[in-house]
Amino acid sequence: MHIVIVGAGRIGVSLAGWLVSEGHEISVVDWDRSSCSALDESLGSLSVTGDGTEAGVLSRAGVNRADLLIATTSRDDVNLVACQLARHHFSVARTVSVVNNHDHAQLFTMLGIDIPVDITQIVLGRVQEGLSLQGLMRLMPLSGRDAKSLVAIKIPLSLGKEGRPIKDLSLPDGTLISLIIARDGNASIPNENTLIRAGDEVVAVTTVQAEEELRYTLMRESEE
Amino acid sequence: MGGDGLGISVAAALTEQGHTVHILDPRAEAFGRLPPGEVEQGRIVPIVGDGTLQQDLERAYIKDAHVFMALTDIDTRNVLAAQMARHLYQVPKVICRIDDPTTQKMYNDLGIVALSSMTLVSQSAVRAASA
Repeated sequence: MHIVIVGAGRIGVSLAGWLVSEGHEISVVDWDRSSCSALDESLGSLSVTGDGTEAGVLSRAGVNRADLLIATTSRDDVNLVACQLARHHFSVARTVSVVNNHDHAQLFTMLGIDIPVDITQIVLGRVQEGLSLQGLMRLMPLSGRDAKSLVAIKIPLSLGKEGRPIKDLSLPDGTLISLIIARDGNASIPNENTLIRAGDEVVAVTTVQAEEELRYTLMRESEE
Repeated sequence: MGGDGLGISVAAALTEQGHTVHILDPRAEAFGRLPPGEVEQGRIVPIVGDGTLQQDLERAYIKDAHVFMALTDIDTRNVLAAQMARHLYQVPKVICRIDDPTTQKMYNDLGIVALSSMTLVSQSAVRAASA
């Protein structure tokens, strides 16, 4: 694919590096001459110096034959105009944009940016996930209307050594414990009498709503 | 949106026609050039804020606005604010200053009234010369 990246900041440069290693043909547009020459030194001659919201500059970057434009600057106004020019003036099939201010995320979606990457929301989401669901990791979402996912929960070693059979746990509705990986790495498919012990990794199917309750149940009750 | 000469003169002209104007600019000192009588009587309401942020647009009562104009000298900021006014707040009439001719044409085609001060001045100059 031919891909045009607007912005040679940290995000633009790391994307360019990855896409080059994947074998794509890349051009990077940035108005700052020194950012451009730094990029050219590390990745070969890819840069076009100029304003990525000017049609003439985007043309020089080969946007006419690009399959994708990725806007990565720290300014949402610049990213939006670069994407809209690509889409409406140059008929680029797909556009991706960094969204710096959460205020603009909905607008970018409404205006047809294919992948709006809402940085604030991503950071916020990761921090919330890390703080509120400590010990629980979402492995993968499952298809279907009830928004279930496959999760893994590590039972802390600090909890009691005795373990408790699954049948004694009051698991939230819609939750199924699918696999238990013991401390020594042995995996087993549990039945209702299987003991859950400190240090076990429990793999379960659960709903998003029940995640917190499941985590609480496993961490608390195995303590008793 | 925009407290440069253009925004100020448009605000003054609109109040002369009996309209009320809220004018947004991040630089408080820009409002020093507003006609003081109109400000005192509340026909021009200056608001220090950024027209590309929802909270500042809402402080300027964008939800009740009949017209939104983005008139700063930075095309891309005007385009962002104008599309927020149109798509997020459904302002009935949105006018956007875009000096770059290619983008001006594109946004006109996308249904935004895009004016270029350069085009307008050059048309007037040509008209004046041939009159």
